[in-house]
Amino acid sequence: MRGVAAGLGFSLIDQTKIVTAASELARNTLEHGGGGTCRLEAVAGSRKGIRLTFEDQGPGIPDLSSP
Amino acid sequence: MGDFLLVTIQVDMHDRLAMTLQDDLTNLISRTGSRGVLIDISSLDMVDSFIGRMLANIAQMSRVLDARTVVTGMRPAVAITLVELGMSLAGVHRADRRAGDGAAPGRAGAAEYHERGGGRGRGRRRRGGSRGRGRRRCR
Repeated sequence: MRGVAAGLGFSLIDQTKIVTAASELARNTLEHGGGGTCRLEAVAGSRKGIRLTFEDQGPGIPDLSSP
Repeated sequence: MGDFLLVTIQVDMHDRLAMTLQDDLTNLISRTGSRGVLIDISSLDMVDSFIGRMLANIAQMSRVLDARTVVTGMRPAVAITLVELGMSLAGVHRADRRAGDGAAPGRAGAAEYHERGGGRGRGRRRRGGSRGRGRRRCR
């Protein structure tokens, strides 16, 4: 993942943020979501970027603000 | 001056390994009467909340045993990310070796380390042998 980010031209600091965020999301997906998937896409176009999509089938977090 | 235990983290730690490290260090501190733990994370290109919690736990447990935890070698990108994540390594002191300091931590003790800020945390952790988790330096 870091390699992909580096290849897309992300700075070292941004690479670190990306992989750290991914680690957190992966952990949540596993621990609270009962497992899931992660999709990594390079985004092309006017702005280059990386898209990480984590999906699970877990119960989610209840909306504490709703009555 | 008491002993400092030196731990070099060089790997991605999975949960069980992290728990093992915490337990091992606590036992070692208690058994050897060490004054502190020096954790070298210079090999880590990422520290997430899991590792951060582990470091904070180690700091807490060592403090209960009247020892100190010092983390050294944190990469700048890691430090910046931790700050932006809002992660506080509570109770963990950070230290950086001065350039050219080739002395072993035990020999250097606290004096040669420049301490900065207090308290606000992919390899393979080596096991066994004198180069394993707790390297004791006698003073």
